[in-house]
Amino acid sequence: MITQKELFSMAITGGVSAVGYADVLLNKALRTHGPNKEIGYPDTGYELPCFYGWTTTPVKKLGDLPSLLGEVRGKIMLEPTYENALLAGEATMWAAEIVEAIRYIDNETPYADEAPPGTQEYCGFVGDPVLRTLGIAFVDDTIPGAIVFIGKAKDPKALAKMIRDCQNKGMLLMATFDIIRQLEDEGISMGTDIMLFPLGEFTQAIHGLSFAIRAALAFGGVQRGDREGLLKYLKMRPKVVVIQLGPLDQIKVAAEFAVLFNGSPTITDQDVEEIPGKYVVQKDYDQIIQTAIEIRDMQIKLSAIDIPVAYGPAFEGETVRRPDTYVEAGGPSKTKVFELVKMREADQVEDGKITFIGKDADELEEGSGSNLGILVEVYGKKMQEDYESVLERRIHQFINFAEGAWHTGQRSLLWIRLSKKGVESGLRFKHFGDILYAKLHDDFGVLLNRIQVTVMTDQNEIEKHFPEALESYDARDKRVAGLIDEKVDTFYTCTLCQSFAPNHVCIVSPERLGLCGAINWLDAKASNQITPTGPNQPIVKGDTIEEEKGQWTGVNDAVKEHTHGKLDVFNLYTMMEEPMTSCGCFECIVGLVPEANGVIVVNREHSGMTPLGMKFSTLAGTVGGGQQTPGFIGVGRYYLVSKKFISADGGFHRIVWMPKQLKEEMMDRLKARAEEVGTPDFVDKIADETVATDPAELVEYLNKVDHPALKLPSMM
Amino acid sequence: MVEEKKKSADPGVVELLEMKEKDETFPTTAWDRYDIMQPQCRFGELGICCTICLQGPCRINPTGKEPSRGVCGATAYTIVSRNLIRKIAAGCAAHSDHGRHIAHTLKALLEGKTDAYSIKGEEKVKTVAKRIGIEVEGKDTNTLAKEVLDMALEDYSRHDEETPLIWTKTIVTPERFEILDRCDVVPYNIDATIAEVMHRTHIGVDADPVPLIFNGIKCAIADLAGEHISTDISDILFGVPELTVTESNLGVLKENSVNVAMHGHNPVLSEVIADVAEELQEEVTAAGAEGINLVGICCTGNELLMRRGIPLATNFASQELALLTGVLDAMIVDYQCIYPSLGWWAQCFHTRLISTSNLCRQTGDTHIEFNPKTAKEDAKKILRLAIEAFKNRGTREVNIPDYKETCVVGFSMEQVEEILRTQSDDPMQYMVDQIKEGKVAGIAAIVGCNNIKTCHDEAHLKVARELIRNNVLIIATGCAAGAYVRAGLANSNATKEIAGEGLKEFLTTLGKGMNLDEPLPPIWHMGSCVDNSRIHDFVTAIANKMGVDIKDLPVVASAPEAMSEKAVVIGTWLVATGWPTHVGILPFIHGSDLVVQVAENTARDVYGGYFVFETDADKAAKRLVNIIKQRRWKLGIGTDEEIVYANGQTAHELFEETEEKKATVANGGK
Amino acid sequence: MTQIKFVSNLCQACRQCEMGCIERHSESGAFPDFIWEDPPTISRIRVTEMKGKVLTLKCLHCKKPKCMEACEFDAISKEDGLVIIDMEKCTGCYECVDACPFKSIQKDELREKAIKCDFCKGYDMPACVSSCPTDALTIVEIKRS
Repeated sequence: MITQKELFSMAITGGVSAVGYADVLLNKALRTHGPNKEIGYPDTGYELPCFYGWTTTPVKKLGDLPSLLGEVRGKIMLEPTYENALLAGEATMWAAEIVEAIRYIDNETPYADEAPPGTQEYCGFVGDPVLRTLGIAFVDDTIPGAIVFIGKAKDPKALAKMIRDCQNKGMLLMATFDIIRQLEDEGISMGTDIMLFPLGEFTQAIHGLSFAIRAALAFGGVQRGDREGLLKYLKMRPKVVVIQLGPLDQIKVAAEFAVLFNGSPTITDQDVEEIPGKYVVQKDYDQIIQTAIEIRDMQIKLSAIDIPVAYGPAFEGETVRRPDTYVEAGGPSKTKVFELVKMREADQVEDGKITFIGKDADELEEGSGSNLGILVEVYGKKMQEDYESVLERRIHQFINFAEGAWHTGQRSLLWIRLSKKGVESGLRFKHFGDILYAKLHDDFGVLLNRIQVTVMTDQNEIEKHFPEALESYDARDKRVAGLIDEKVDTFYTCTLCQSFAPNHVCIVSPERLGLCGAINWLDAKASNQITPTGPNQPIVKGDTIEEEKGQWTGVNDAVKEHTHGKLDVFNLYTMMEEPMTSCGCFECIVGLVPEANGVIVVNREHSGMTPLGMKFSTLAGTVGGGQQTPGFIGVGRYYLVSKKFISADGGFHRIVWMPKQLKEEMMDRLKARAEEVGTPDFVDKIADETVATDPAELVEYLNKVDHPALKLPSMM
Repeated sequence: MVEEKKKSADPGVVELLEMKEKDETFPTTAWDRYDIMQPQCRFGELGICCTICLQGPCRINPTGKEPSRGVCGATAYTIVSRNLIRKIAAGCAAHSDHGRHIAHTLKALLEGKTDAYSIKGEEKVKTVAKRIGIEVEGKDTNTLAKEVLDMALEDYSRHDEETPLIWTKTIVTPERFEILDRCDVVPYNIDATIAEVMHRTHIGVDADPVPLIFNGIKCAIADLAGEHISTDISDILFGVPELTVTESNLGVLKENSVNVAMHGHNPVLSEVIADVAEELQEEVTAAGAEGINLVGICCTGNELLMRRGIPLATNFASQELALLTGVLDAMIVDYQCIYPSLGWWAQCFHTRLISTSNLCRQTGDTHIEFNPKTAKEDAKKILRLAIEAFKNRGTREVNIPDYKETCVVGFSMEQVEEILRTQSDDPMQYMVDQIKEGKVAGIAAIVGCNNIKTCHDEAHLKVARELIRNNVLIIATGCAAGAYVRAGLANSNATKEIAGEGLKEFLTTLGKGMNLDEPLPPIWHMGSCVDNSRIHDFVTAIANKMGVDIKDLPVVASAPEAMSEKAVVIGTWLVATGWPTHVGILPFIHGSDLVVQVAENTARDVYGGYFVFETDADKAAKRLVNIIKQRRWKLGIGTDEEIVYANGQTAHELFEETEEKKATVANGGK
Repeated sequence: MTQIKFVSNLCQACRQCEMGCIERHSESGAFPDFIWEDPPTISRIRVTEMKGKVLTLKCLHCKKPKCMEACEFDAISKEDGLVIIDMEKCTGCYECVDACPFKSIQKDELREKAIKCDFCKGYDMPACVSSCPTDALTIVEIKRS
């Protein structure tokens, strides 16, 4: 039995060891590289996040570190008390951050070769793009919390069960030490794309903490060095729990007190005298996750779905590559596919009826293509035809949540794959029925009284429904085309992120979707129907103050209310004056380049340099957190092709630069928009990183191609 | 009556001790003196007695009450770390000074100042030269040897702090060098590093345990360099050891010969003695003896055993007992691990105790200062004293225990490569494959001394037997190896009788490859304690071939009966180069939780190697086997069916231990 | 009634108590002078070990001392609860040494006297207690009927 006093003592000696270690390494690094050597992690706008969060001193060079390390060394007290253990925890956090920063000097992937060849690679630092991708799922509780696993489990099967359980509940997971190898043994995939990060074996564990701190900085609007604000925020979100399995040692305990210092508790399977709510013992592996949920009061939004594979947001980012594909529908296989949500009369829908027609995956040959139709028929008193598209768009996410299933595209341009591993585990097309029935009920139960799903691979059956599908798509498009800001008198707020970014509000209009890209006007409307007191509140536009810039009395009032008085003036169509704020989970950043008299667009997936001299992650740091930053806005990518895209500032023609990949992904829409504004060759005039990464190169290119932005009035 | 503690696993030693009990006129043995010493001071044992400055001695109360700090304010972790790294510095000084003396001998040879030596290891000159980056082509042996020597001596005298020791940079894996360099533990000058430790531990210098310990590690890395220089130049001067079959234990002493024991560590004198012994045959015959019977004790013994097959009479703990046989005519000592008691022991017998190094004098000795320039004359002088002593044996009873065992020795790195080459053109790849296939589950380096706190040799044997049973190949040096050759574990029978199936197959195949009818022994004797460098080379070669670092390999080290400061320093560099290292004796660090935690856990996180302190040899052996399994699992070449934590405990054992502790608490600590 | 209490768990076997005792009972009563005194002084308390546990052998000042019974010369008496040997009367026959079940009396063969703890009569605190660095030896009040 380890008593509390012994535990504190371990944390303190661990702290002393950690700072001593950091000190030795730092002095050596200083001698080798000199004090002016730049330090930092790849893909982050928060320098060394633990310092960024906890101190006001900027940390950019090696020479910045000694005084900070000295400061924290000076705080360590040897008497074994809880307070002193926390101080040692803080010291350990900084020490670990320094040790890690040194590893990243002149090396963006120091852990690539750390594990023996042929075993799971460690990921080390996890960059901002991953954080921002997960942002929306974090804020709407799809991800209820994050769990950091430390040590080695006494029963790897039970550990794997825990991990599966966590994945089904949608948790973000991080694995360290021998647990990584144990999970590998159990056939559990790991990676930054599937929400299970194999951090590494030692000080790399700090990157788990750094992830949480950056969530506060990116979404919470917590300012650099606002210790109180940070602590307050971290106590609420993100809900982190450390699970320590196997024997304790001083460094692990010190690290756990570092996490405790950041407001999150530890659960251990060892014999320790508990600190209630902070250092908790749970020896029964079947109970550990439940204990974690209770201790942080996590809200589990995902209900269990009875399918043979794991199901949760972890697998949304999972890609099924060609060699891993068992069967494919649509895409290059050129089979006939569609997905359709259709509103019906009550007597036409039998709730819970799931029908499968045709041959299922196991009856198909490996590597073959299959037709696939997904027809969801719904009935509900509050259901409106407008919401069909809202529901239909969610099919993508719902199917992707299943491990081994991959969904992209929409409507009749659908492309679906089932992986070999998935099919081997028992995943079938028919399970899409179970998934869609359960998920639609969960998320839209208020709108829908009856749901029936038909999944078909039989050609004749598909032909039967296909014309109706095409007809529906066409009708919808026509309706949406007529849906413009001027024609509605109600916009919606979106404060989904407010649990994370307390002072941010999105104003969602028919022609400007939420900056995360997930909520358009119809989504917001439907969401308001489902939860009238929820994050999407209708705003009556009221009197027009500035037509061009998009300012209305009703909107101003709503903004004032929802930002708790922080903003009282707001323009929807300009980025130069009182623009929309940003939470942190924006898909793209639009930023002004004065030299080019235009704007660049950079998406979060782009890790390279932009002509603004900043990478996405750095830009995001200046834009996020619920502040108005004239000249910079965060946007959803489809806003780029909206008629109202910074229409007060010159609109679409202002776009002078965007990453090649983004351009290619949006090519069809960009071209369509270019034709609409009468410049069919405009898209080619937009520069990308292959021609310019600084303003001078950019302007030179723009001149060469005669970019229209150069002829527009000055933006400033 | 409490049953008397067993004193030795060696029946010959037990026999002599029993005989000694019967006669009160015999002087005390280390066992007697240990008993008298009981109980020993806990402050010292815990490492929390500080006598560094004259304000002391300061002792920290280990029960958590006052005094909690020394007069200067040093807490337990400062005092423990300082005491510890001073031990490391002493160990490093001993090894590297030994290396320097050998280097000076080579220097004397190259400068034409001695005719007692020649370069017997011409190949070795080339391999060392190549390894340290000297252009070999078109140079004769003496020129090359001179260049090697200069570089070796530079490692003792460099003043450019930015240049690492050549004998560090060129002997570790690149990955390891990176870790050592990042942790600032790469020395630039062996002597300066020792000085740095002594300076750092002076009153009022470093008080932070981690930098203190890291300085200790740096000194241990310097020690590895010193050891490696010793081995390299010894091989150059005296030849690389080759496979030799001989016998060992006290039974090798001969009643009718002039028995001369060579004890200590440095081969520079003993080699010459072995060279000239034959020349004195006439004088020997005149004295009425059959011949001169040279035997070895401790690591000088190991050096002679490896290169010349000269039998090892006994090892450290039982050095006094060699005199008790009544037939030892001369005990020649160089330095290190010489019991000061030998002086008065020799006075009780006819034996001449001859000291040869001005560093190492014994009261009651005959000092014949050894000088490379007059080596042959010195050697003859010494042997003549032995012949004189033979004549004066008198009528004392002769008690030569009738125990000796066949042993196969001489496993230098070069010899091992040659053995493996019989199976494949790529010898190290063959070794790697054997490990990957699991025929050889792993490699255990068993090293170190004897310690009178445990039953003499017993822990060595227990640990080795258990590992061999589990298909772990053992490489041994020093007094551990001394225990094996004497106990019959370093021969083919041991393989046949106790080796696990895979290991047996491996050793039999190699035996056939060497055109032997018998399998090779399961324990490969690699030399004296300074030759731990060979252990390092062997495992480093495997790591390089596998493309990993030692921290990933299924290897363990063990010093079941660690005793000297050299053992402390060896353990330290083993850990710092990635070895899980078992120590069967509690070193004087348990007064500080921090230092123990750093040794047992934090070291693993930083260096990959770590200490396992376990005084129960059976438990230790099990843990070592488990660590091998754990590492195989981690490397992806084994399974982790029984969950083993890194320290070698299984999940089950950990649970039991906690339950045990609980029960103890419940019973009021009884 | 006070007595010296010994807690084995706290004892580090440093033998400082022996040193303190010798110093106090030596001719000079001073460190380091007592080291060179002849005949040397013997410690009245002895640190020893049994089954891995540290013990101290020292007089318990028994209620019914066996040593007193054994002494044929009336040299041993009880004074204020302490068992005291009168050095004048002691002949060095060592009957008491054999009689003591706690092995707490020693032979001072050079002086031909039996010696044992006198509780440092005349001092505030027994030397062994005051020299103990870990409070393994302390003075406790005990009730005696």
